[in-house]
Amino acid sequence: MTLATHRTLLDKIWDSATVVHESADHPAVLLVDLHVLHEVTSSHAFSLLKQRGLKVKYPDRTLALADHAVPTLAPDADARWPFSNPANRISVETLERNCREHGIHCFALDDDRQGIVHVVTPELGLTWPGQVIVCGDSHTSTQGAYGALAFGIGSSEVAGVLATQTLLMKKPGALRVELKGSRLPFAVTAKDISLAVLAEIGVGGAQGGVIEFTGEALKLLSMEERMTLCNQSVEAGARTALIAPDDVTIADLSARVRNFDTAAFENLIDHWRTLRSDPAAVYAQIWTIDVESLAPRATYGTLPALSIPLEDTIPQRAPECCDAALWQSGLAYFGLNPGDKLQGLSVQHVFLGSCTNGRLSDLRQAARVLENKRIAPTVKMWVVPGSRAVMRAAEAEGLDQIFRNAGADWRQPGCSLCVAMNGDNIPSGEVCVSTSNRNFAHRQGPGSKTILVSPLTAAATALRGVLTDPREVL
Amino acid sequence: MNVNGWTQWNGRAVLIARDNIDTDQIYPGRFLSLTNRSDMGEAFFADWRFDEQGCERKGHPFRKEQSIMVAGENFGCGSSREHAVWVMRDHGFRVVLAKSFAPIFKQNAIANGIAPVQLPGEVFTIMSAHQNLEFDISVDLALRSCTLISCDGKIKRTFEFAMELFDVHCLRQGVDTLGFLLSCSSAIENHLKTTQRINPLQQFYSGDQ
Repeated sequence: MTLATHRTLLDKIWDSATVVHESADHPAVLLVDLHVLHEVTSSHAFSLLKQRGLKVKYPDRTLALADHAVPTLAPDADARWPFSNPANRISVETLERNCREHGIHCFALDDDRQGIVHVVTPELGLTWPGQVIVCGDSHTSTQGAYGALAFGIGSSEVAGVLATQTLLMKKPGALRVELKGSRLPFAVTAKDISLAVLAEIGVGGAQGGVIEFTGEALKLLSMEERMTLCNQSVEAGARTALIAPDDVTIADLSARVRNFDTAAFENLIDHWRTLRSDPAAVYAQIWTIDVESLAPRATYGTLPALSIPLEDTIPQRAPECCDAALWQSGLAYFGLNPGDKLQGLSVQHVFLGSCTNGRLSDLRQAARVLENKRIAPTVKMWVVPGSRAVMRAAEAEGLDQIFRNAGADWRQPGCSLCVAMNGDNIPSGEVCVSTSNRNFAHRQGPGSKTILVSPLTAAATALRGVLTDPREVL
Repeated sequence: MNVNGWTQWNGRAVLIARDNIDTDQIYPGRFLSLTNRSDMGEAFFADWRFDEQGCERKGHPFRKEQSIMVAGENFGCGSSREHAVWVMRDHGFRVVLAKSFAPIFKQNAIANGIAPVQLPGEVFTIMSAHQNLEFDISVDLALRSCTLISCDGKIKRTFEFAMELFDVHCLRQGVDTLGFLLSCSSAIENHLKTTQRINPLQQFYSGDQ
């Protein structure tokens, strides 16, 4: 129990979900409102339950989606999905079987609600302010954009949540990132803000804490953009991120939540409006970013915190957040040197998609750059919508035609080249400019080189075939 | 879970002289298709141990006899994949000594009988300064201490570390958190009843599913 009179949003959500308080002997037991599963991290958890003769305690609070292992090529004439290997097919089938056995809703490949866990859950109006949401995937933090306390967890913890609907956790510290500014500079997107935040905090600077994003600049960001921001908070070591619900949040949810009587929903909204940090609440650390000072950015090493504005050159020394050996090995991995410009770097692949930037507004931004143009003949560009709903909406607007006419590959929804386990991968030594979240060495395939950027920068780069500042083509 | 508890562990150490070792290094994503633990061994630091033709790289730091990993800050950052911990355990590792840990990795390690021991940087510094020497380390969870001994016998230092009581309990008894959570089941049911937490998924049970 937090006795302080000035409570953070984290305190408020944490206290309301606490079943057993933390003590010297054990962490707190936290109630989980919604548990989301996917095929890769759940099979071990179901096996653990089986070993111990346990059942899923609250299957009606559990939702499953297939996203990591699914092919992004369309099914063949016999409606068979072209899995890259039998193991991936089996993992999706195992998820479906486990869900059938335990009475869990599962949206797999042939369901029109299928897509990436962190794209679909909010899209279906299931992510609510004040909830505790968990999923066996680190980017569950995405859903913190709605003011939900959303944690990524390991497979053993997934088993615990399946069996008890609770999570054992020591309370994380409250951190804050204040976003100042009343307008976004031309061609600066939520992804550029996110990369700037990571560069400021460093790759482990928020370790184990919960980042609350605050500040007037949040008003400039849609729910989709806020999700991009919260998504990458884990790349600063944070346990998750939060944004207090406001009119934008409530308008979004009002359009999505279904089958609620009006009075009950009005009560919910009244409750959501109380979910904000008290003005005098205390944080362990506060960082301030002025969004008006930002420019389109790109990463240059093998950590998401290593990024610079595209107009800059690679610094002469490792930034504080990064040990010199790792910084140097990151530069060597790309064949880059201090003082080099990133702009003009030769690029072979462009990937638009993922739980970071695979939503409709991301596709719209990229399409705006590519409309009536052709991508460079030396570049392969893949567009992978974050969900079937995103795909349908994009096709209804003709975005797929813009991408196809530009020479890009319009693919089926899934995690694809972000986690690179479904057969989609980048050949060794080739550079992929990617709207995903991690640029670790070998992340997109052995020897692959990943540069993280916004959808606008990805599209501009596809046009030129070299890393390009989007302001040059807009 | 068949995690054997332990209180003392002695073993050969391997130094990974870097911060921010991410779980994609420990267990590359392309191996996530595998579901049998017995097939996963190859994935362990695969891109460090093998080149793209599958030949073993010269100069990687891993040897069969090692069971303790020593690293810098933020060990195990990135993906939540527990596969990283499984494959470390299957390669014999029972302790990671690091300056700090990514939070999900730390939970995954404890659930699988690997002790995440957070140390002052001294162990890292000593080993980094003597990279030509082999080191053995003994870890005592009851005393929360660890002793670093160089194989030539010239360096011997003992350090204390802090670890949450509950984590020590899980590691020594060889249990994960599930037993504790199950013991709370009546409190959980009460909480759900008295707080009337609305289930967002009820949208799918009460209408146009």
